[in-house]
Amino acid sequence: MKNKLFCLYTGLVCFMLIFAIFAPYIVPQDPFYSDIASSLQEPSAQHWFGTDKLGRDVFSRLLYGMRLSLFTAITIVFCIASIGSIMGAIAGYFGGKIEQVIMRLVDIMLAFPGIVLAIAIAGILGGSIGNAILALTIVGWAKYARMARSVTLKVCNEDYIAAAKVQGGTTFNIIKRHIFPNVLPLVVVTGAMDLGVMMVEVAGLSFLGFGAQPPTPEWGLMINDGRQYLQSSPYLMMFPGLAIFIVVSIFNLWSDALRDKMDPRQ
Amino acid sequence: MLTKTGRKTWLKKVVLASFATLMIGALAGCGSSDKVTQLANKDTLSVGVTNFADTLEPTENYFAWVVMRYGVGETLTKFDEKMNTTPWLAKEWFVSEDKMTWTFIIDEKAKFSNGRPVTAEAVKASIERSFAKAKRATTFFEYADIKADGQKLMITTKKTLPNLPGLIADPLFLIVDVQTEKEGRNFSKEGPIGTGPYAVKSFTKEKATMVKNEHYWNGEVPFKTVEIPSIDDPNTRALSLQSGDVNVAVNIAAADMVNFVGNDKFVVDEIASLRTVVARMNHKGLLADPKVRAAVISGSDRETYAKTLLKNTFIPGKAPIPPSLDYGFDQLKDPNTYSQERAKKLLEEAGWKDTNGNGIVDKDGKELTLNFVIYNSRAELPAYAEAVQADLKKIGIDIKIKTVDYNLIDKMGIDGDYDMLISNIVTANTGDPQLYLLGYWMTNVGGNNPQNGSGYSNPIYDEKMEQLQVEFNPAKRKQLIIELQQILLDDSAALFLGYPKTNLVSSKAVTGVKMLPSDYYWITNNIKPAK
Repeated sequence: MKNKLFCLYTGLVCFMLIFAIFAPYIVPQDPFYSDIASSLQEPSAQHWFGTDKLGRDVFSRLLYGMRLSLFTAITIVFCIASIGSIMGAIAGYFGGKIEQVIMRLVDIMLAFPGIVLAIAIAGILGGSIGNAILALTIVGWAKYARMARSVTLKVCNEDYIAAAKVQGGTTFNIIKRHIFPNVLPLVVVTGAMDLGVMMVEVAGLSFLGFGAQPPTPEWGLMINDGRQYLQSSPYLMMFPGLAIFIVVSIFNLWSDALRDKMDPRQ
Repeated sequence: MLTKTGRKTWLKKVVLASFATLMIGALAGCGSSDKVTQLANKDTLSVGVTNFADTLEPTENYFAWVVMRYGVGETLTKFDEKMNTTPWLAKEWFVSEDKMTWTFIIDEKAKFSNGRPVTAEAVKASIERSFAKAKRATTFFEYADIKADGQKLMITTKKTLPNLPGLIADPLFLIVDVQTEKEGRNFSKEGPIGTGPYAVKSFTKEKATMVKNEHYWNGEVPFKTVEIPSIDDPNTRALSLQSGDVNVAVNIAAADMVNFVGNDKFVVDEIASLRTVVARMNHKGLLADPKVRAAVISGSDRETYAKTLLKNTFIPGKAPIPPSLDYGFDQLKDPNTYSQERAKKLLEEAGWKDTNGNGIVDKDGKELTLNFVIYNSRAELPAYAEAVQADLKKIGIDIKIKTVDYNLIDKMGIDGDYDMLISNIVTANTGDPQLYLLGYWMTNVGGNNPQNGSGYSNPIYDEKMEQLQVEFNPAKRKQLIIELQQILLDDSAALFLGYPKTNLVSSKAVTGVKMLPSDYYWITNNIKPAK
C-alpha cells in the first residue's frame, strides 16, 4: 500500500517535471504575447483559463510559471541543503571553536522569523528572482546545519570511526565515506519536504514585489496582478492559487511518502 | 509528530472550521443592502480614504492636503470645477498699480473652530507660520512684507506674480489659529484649529475622527461625527463601500468601477483631474538619441491603454497638460502618434537592428535595454509600465521594470538615475501649469532646477519660459504655454501616457458628494444625509 502511494506520488512529480521541462513545446500560446484588445477575457475554448489585463493567455503563463517555481524551489533547496549539511558536518566533526562559531551563527539565523528576514534581505537587494533565491538561501541553511551536526556527533562516537582513524583514514575520507552517507538520507527527506515550502515562500516574495518582476510569469506575481480584478475577473487569482495549491500538495504528499519509505524505524 | 489518525482528525477539524467561516461570511453577506442605502446613524458619516499623512501638522511634508481633504482647513481662495480662483475665506481681492501688492478682504463672518474670529492679523500669523516651518512655501512665492489692518490683508511680493490668488489656494497656506498654538496646543499631536466645517477629535494614520465645528461660519454642518478610516488597498476600499461600512469612498480603481457604474445604490462622481501620468525620459543615456525617444513614444499605444487596460478611467495621453485645463490640448500636434511601423523605422534609422535574432535590437554589440523605474502604490502605474513593456517588445526594445518605494522616486528623478521614470503629477495645483512646466523641463544649470534630472535642455524653451514668468495677460500666457508644450512634443521630451479621472463614489445614503479637479476638497458641509 505504502509503495503504491509512493509510486503514485512519484509519478505525479515526474509528470509535473516533464510539464515544466517541456513547457515551451506544450504551451498553446506565447505567454509573453500581449494583445490588450482581448484583455480580461473569461475562460473559453481558445483561452482555457482566460486572459489577463494585457491579454496574455493565463494557461500558458501558468505552465511557464510552474517551470520557474520548480526551478527556483529546487535551486534553493539544493543550496540550503548542501551549504547547511557541509557547515553542520564540519561543526560536528571538528568541534571546539569552529563548532562554537558555526553553531552560534546558526542560532542567530534561527532566532529570526524566516520569512520576515527574507523579506528584509530581498527588500535591501532589490526585487528579482535571483535575489529572492539568495534571500531564502541565507535564511534557510541553518536548519540543515543543526541537523547535520547532530547526526555527525552521533556518528563520530561510533566504533567504526575510531577504527578508521586508527587505520590512518584522512579527515576528508572519513567525512566522505562514513559521515556523509549517514547525513544524506535525513537531508534528502527534509529537502523534499522543503520543496513545497520554498515554492510558497518564493511566490510570497513575488506577491509582495520582492521576487520575480513583470513580465515574468510567476504564480505569486500573477496572484498579485489579479488582485486588482478580484471582483470582476476572480479567475485571475483563482487559477494561480489553485496551481500553487495543487503542486505544493503533490510535493508534500510525495515527501511524506518518501519519508515513510526511508524512515529506518519502519 | 502526529500519528496517522491524529493527523486525520486534525484535518477534519480544519476543513470543518473553514466551512463554518465560509457559511458565516455568506450569511453576513445577506441583508446588507439596507445597510448600504441607509445610514446606520443619522449623525455619523463614514468616508473611506487613502492617506499618506502621519500627523495633521499642515506645514509638514504635504500633510496640509489631508487637513483640507478632511474638512478641517480652508484657504483664502478656492478653485471651482473649471479651476477658476473663487472666494473662500477672502471674499474679494485686488492688486495694486505696480502689481506687487495684493489686498485680500477677509470675510468678517469667518471664525475658527474654537470660536475666535478670523482677522487679517490671524491670517498673517498663519501664513508667516507656513513660511517659517515649511521650506517648500518659497517654491510658491516669496513675500517682502505682509500687513494686516482689520479684515484687510496686504501681501507685497518680491517679484510680480500674476497668479498669487491661485498660489495662496494651495493647502499649505490653509489658515490655522496660531494663537492656540502659542497657548500650548500641539498641532502634530492634537491636530490644528482650522476654519472648516469639521474639527479634529482624534487622528492616527489608520483612522481619523472629526466632530462638528460648532462655530462654522459658512452654513450648516450636517453631521456630528465623521469617521475617516484609511483604506489604502483599492479592492478593500471598494468592498467597504459595497458592504455599507463606509458611505463615501475616494478613487475607486478601474477594475472595481463595474460594480458601481449603473448600480442604483451608488452615485459615481467622476471628473478629469489635473494629473498627468508621464514617463520621464533621461536624455543622457540610450535615450539621448531623439529618434529612439520618438520610437518609444510612437510604439506605445496610449489609446488602448486608456480605453481597454484602464477601462476608460483615463484619457489617452498626448501633451504635458491634460485636456481638463484649457491650454490648447486639441490644437497641439503630436508627431509621435501610435504606429509600430514608424517606431520600427525610426529605430532602423538610428542604427538599431536585431543582428542576433533574439528579438531585441542592438547596435555596436549593445542591446537596447531600458530601465523603467516605477512605484506601485498607485494601481495604474504598474499596469501602464507592463503595457509599455509589452508594446515596445514588439518593436525590439527591451524594458526592465524596476519597482521602488515611492519615497525613492523623487530622489531618483533628481539624480537622473533612470532611463524612464513614471510619475503621476499634478500639473496645476495652483490653477496654473507654470511650476510644472518649469520644474521638469527648464534647463538645469548646476542644480539650479533640481527637479529636471533628465538633462533635457532647449534654449528656445528656456527663453519662452522666462517670458511666461513675468507675463500677466491671460491670453498671452495661454499662448506661451501652448508653444512650450509643442516644443516638448516636437523634442519627444517625455512619454505622456494618460490623464486620470478622479472619482468620489458614494452610496445613496448621502447626497452632495462632489469631486473637483483639485483633489483636496473631499469632505465639505455639502455632504448631507439623504432624505
